[in-house]
Amino acid sequence: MGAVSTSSADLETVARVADRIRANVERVIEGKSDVVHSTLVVLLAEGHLLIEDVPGVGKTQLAKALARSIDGTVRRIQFTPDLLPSDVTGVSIFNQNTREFEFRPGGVFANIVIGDEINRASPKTQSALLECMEEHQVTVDAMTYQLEAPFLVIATQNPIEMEGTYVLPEAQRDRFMARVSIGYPPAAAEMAMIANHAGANPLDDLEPVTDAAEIRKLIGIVNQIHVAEPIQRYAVGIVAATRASGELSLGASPRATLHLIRAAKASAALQGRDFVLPDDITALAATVLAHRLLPSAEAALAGRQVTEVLRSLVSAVPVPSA
Amino acid sequence: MVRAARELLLTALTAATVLLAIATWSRIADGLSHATGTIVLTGAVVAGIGAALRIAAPSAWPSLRVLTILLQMAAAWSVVSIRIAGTPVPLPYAPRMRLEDAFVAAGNAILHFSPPVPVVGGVLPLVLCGAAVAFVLADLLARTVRLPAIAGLVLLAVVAVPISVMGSDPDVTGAGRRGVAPGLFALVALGWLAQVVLAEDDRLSRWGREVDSPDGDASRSKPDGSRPHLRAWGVTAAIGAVATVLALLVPLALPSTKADFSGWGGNGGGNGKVSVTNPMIDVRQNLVQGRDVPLIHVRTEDTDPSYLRIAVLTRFSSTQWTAGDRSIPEGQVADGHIPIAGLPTSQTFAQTPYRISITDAFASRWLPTPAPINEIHADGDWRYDASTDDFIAADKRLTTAGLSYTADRVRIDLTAAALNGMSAGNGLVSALYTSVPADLPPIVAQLAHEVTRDAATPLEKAVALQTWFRRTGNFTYSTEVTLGSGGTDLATFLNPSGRAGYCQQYSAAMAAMARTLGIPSRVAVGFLNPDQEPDGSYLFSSHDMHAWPELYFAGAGWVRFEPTPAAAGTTVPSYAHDPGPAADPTTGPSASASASASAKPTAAPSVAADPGASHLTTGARTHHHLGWWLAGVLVLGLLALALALPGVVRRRRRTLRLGIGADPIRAEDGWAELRDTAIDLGVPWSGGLSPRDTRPLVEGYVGSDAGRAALDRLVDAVERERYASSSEPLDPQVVRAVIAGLEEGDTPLSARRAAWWPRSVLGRRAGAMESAVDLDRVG
Repeated sequence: MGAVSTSSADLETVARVADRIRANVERVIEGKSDVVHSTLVVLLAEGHLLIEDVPGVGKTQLAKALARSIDGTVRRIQFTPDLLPSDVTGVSIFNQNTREFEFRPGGVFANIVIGDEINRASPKTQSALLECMEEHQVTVDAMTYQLEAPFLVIATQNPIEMEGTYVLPEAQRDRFMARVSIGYPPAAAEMAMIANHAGANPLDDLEPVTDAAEIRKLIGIVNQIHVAEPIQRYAVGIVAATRASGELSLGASPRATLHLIRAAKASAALQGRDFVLPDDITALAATVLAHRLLPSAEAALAGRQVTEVLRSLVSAVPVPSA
Repeated sequence: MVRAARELLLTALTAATVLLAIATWSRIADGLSHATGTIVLTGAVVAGIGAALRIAAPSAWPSLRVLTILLQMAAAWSVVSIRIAGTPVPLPYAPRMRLEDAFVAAGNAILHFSPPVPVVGGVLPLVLCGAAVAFVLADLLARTVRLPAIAGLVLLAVVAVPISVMGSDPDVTGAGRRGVAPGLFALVALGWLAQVVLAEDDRLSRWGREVDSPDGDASRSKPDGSRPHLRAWGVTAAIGAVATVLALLVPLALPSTKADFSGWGGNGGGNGKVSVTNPMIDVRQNLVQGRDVPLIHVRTEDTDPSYLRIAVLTRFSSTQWTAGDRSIPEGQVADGHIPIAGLPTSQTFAQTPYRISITDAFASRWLPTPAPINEIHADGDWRYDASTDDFIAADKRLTTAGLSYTADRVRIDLTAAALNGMSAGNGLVSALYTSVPADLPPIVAQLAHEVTRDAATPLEKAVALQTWFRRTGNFTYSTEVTLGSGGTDLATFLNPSGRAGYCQQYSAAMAAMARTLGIPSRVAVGFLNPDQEPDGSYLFSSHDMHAWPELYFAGAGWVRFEPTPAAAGTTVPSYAHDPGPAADPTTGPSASASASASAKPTAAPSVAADPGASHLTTGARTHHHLGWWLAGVLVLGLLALALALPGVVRRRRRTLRLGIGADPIRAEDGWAELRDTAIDLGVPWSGGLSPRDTRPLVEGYVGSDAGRAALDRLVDAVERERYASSSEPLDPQVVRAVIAGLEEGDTPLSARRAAWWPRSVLGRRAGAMESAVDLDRVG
């Protein structure tokens, strides 16, 4: 990694493509540039995104807008209680004509998979998706099918409406690189939204601004971003602090450390930098770590949010200078 | 190439200045010239190593500095060790001398000799080690860490050695010379100033361009046409010159300091001579010291063994009597027949054998003998000076401690009648014996003529002087006075309101007055009035030390007189008996032996209550005042130094981090400098924040746009250096611009306090407290 340095032309490519995607998505989701940024970070860091928010703020709109912006295959799986794992992964069907079993790919065979309302499916189905997410492959009837890169799962879930849902277990949340909440738009953005949605759905006008091949190239560039040893120490220090904290009953996993570093690399590349700053780590800590942590009973009783706990933990870890 | 030449020149200048400073030690170390070669070699080796390493690796890392010092110390030590022990490392059986023995001997030499202490066989190891330390320290400060101004302290310390040993009042210590020759001091000062000026010039010539004018020429002129480093040259030179001139002139204006521009420091002896300046063990100190230490046992049949001579002082300078230069050829060994100065060798005399045993407590390099003697047998390389008949150790390690030897005293029966017919031996002896210093106060000669107005012959004159001192001159005996034997002291002593003193003043005054009358004279130092032991031997102890004048008569040689009053237990020699009505009760020297047991030289200290004595102390009080002044100035100087130190350290740190020109530096150093500046100026700073998060904290305190732009550049450079795979060094002008911006945004008072009382130096705590800021930051 250290020997291969990222050229400024590469970084310009990243910035140019990212700007195009960002502009495209923001035509649909107004005033949420930080969320869009997080989405791009996850895309370029080869992670998966969990969008968790109340209904109607544009979770699905965001996922669809991103999917439309990239000229690649997009599948949408609406998770319902009766969804079967084979609906996600695919199924082998006996073809009467050829008299052979034939694999019919499931919903995950796409560059971008939108898993809508993922917590409505049964845990069995959820875990079928999660295995694909982790291994980028699908195994059906002893046959392994590789998923094409880029492979981004954007799952949405509704934290409010709990009736008839199966909350993602912690181990499965850990597979998501980042969790974002969209939040309500500012008043001005909401006004603009009214105007935009008056005629037609702006999503329908969205044209792809890049393709899967270009995204693969960007991912290659991101992989070459330099992470100095102090930065690695900083990330490890923050993750270790979550494990040591008395206010958290579950700390972040080693996978979380890897995700944090990869996300920081993508973030640095998006900002046109060929090296990661501690500020990248600090800025991404909440996005990457918060959904993996469980508050301790005391913290929960005291009304301490996980994000609050995490913020004070991060600020207590000194930024390494060398 | 130019850099190397410059480094060599400055290093050589530093070493040369230290060498000049060491030359001032010749005032306290006799025969320093014998060590010159080794000292110069030490300096050359130290400077050579320093210059070579600095040229080889210009950007000095701390470890290289440590290496430089270690190498220099090792090399200097080897040179010193080779000279003293003959091997570069200490060995149990060194070819020449074991090092610890040499140092023990040097310590003894300091204890037993008054300054100047002989170098060879004396303090050589200490001199060499001191010189080596001075060379290493000066090179370290002036060149390795580039603080030539601070290196001045080393020079000051070196020059302070003779001053502290000799004191501000030469006559109290009896050294007869000022601590440091003004000429030499001026040279040392000029050498130091030259270093400071050249180093400053060096620094300024590398001063770089400003951050906002990247095309700036390094040596361009200021808008007013003056080149900054030339102006600094002039100012530095002017300040230095004024300070040096003041340092030289102010002592002249002060009443009690005697400036002597004649000497330039060196008084090393030539070949074939042992240069001996002053054997004078401080008589007064021995007379008044509490314990009476037994020094010499004498066994003899002599009826009058009361006088034992150690050495003879022949040279009368304006400040005191000294032994003068001595000639002791190899043939003049103290083993066998000795010719008596002033008497024909053919003449035969009655001899009385003396057996002399010296205790370990008396380590003199002069051999005590009765006088005169014509036969001596002493172990060791003792040589005699044929003109003075005193005996000097020619071997550098030889002292009298524990020595036993025999000598035959010659009995010369002198009578007043015979002496009266003799002329003073002018022309027979060296003119040295009648010379008086040009600045001798006229009162000495005036009184001499007045007292001897009625005397016709040299003997009568001498007796008249002796009588005047002993009885008619209204003198009192006191060991409480702090006078020496120099001209001014004698004038004080002879003044009717003074006239109190002990043997040193009496003997010196009578000898001096005899010289003004044209009678050759000298001062003998030795012992008087031993205690008789039960076994019939005689014991001389430290309280028996004495000094007396000897005058030369053609045909009789050197004749002893005794001007010290009877209160000290002295008696008048038979030939010098005053014919006047109030003659001394004793009739001759032979009586003194029996009287000696009861009459001790120190037996009459009660005269210290004499009103004359209190008057005498007023002279000394002037010196005390001066001492207080000097102490006050010193304390103030140290205080100023202590107050200035944090600022100096702070500036030094800045120079170390930012360099002195536009040479690129590590961004981390620039960041550390910004941190310290922020702490100094009270700008909040947190050690736990990233550079990017620190920027908004500092930015609000930067008073200029240029400063803020430079801050951005600095933050960027630090981030790159810390976290990127490759980074470029930083232009220090960027940091200077940020610092300038911070200072612009600050009040002048706070900026001044930051310059002189920097919190970053005084306590890191100030910075640590401000790190609380990061606890409530928003991530």
